[in-house]
Amino acid sequence: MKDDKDWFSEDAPKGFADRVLAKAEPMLKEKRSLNQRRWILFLLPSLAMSAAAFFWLRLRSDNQGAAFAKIDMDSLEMGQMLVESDELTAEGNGTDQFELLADLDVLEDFDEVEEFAKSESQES
Amino acid sequence: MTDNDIDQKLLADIAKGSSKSFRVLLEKYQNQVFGYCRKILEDKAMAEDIAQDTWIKIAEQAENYQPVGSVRSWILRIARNKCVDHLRSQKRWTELDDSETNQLKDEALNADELIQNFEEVSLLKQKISELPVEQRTILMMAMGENLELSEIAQQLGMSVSNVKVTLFRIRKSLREKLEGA
Repeated sequence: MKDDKDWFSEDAPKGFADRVLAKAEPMLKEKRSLNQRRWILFLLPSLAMSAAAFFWLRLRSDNQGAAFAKIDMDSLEMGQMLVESDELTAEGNGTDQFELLADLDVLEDFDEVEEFAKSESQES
Repeated sequence: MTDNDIDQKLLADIAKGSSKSFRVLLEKYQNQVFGYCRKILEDKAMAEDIAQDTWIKIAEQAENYQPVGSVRSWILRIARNKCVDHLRSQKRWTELDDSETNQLKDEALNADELIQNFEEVSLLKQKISELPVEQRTILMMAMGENLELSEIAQQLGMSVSNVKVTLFRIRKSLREKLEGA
């Protein structure tokens, strides 16, 4: 026996393959479109999740930026308020408060402070 | 990559609807499928119809293929089932009787022994056509699909002993016919 796997082979009638293909084509077409739909169904949730993640990250970063900006604004306002309060104090005393404080630092006890204050008032 | 790996790849593509892969597989096995159906049915027009149905079923079931045996065996199994279904619908198929198996058990043989005894394939092919359809089918399963006796028994709902006995009878019958030729 030459080839026991193929001994029963017989030439199929002419045009057999074309006829089979023509018959099978609608089913194969259906399989193709089903396969495409499967891909879309598989890709859509992934795309939606990626988009959601992107927007969430972006929103989060915007919020953080706004919060930092707010902190900066608050600091600025507070600084401005301190400056204004210093100016008001200085205006009220007729002295430069910063200079006064600087001088006070040098003094060691209250007597000296009192003397200093007297001399200051006398001069004024 | 083996021949079977290529066939499996083709089937995977067919499952996705590739007409090109279907044509490649069809052109590769169309003669085997047609010849197989022709051997069982002994009618050219009927064999062509059943072979066509076989290929449609292959396209339909491509995604259900389990890579247990070879793709070739899977294709031939579909062809054989189509043939047997057709014969049953025509009431030309009689289930083989299990009752005489014990008497012939000792004389039974396996498929390899059966094949070894026939060297002249062309003469054998001619004589096979004279066998009853049920015997032809078992012979095709053993010699065409190269199935084990247990597989033939399982697929035809018979006992292994009965398959052995049937093969023994086939050999006896073919030997007589070949000696008389």
